[in-house]
Amino acid sequence: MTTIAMRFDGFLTPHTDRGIGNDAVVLQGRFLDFRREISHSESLGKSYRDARNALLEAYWECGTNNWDGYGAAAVSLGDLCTAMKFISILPTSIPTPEVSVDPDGEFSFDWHNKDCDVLSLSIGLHGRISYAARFGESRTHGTEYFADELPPAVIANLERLFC
Amino acid sequence: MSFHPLLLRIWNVFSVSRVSNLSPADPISHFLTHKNHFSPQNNRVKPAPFLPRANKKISGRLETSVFATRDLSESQIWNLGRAYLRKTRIYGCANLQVGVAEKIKLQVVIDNSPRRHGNILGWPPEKDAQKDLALDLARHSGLRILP
Repeated sequence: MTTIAMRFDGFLTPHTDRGIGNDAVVLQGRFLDFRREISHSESLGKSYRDARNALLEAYWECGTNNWDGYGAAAVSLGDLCTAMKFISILPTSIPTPEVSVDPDGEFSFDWHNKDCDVLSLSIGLHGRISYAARFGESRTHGTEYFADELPPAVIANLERLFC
Repeated sequence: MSFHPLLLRIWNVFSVSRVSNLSPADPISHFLTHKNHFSPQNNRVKPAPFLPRANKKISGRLETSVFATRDLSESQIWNLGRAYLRKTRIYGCANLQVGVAEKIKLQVVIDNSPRRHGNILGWPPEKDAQKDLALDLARHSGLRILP
């Protein structure tokens, strides 16, 4: 029997398919159809589309060295691909992040909640995530790596911010 | 008698006095040169512009450029930024006090090159630790958008 596991971390997640055979191909096709519908959905896909557009705009504007006048490094296509992959695996319930570019050329995502708590994380090449957060008087920061799934520490911080 | 605007701007920069010592209450400004470094809707500066750049001329020293703005008029402040950044568009500036940086173990060192210029120094090498400090600077900054 061939099965497909729907993950909870995001319906826009690029599916890593390890199944083989006709049933696996059919299930993979249905999963991709489902993803396509979600991403075009006015409500569920809006956060993803807004973040994607912000990333593309930032990529075009920060694609040359010294784009900030202080000697910042250019954003690379690899940085953009990594950041695109990252936003595609964010849960659809998470609000659109504010996108900016760091002086080292990494994309940065900031989220704020109504209590003025904040999570700021930067995505680098090879999936390195550097993050810092404030929850009231509490503060945390760290480094994680991602390939296909959000690291547990990032999920925990997003949940703390919005749940 | 009227002055040419460019001459007036040059005079504005050269009429600015140097500063040597800063107290924790002294104001400093970091000029914002990209529109994704602040949020006008939320009247907020993001952490990204405060992250340090490696100065290759000083063996990769990590620094964030600032200007000491004590006793300066608004037009003098903008002219300092325009003179320093030249071809780069300035959208606004993030204003904070020296004490905010000192409270998180960073130092504000004035080099007066050009006048009133300085750097926030003492950054850790790890990116996540830098973001942690930049978050503090951003949260205690006031956003001023260029009129």
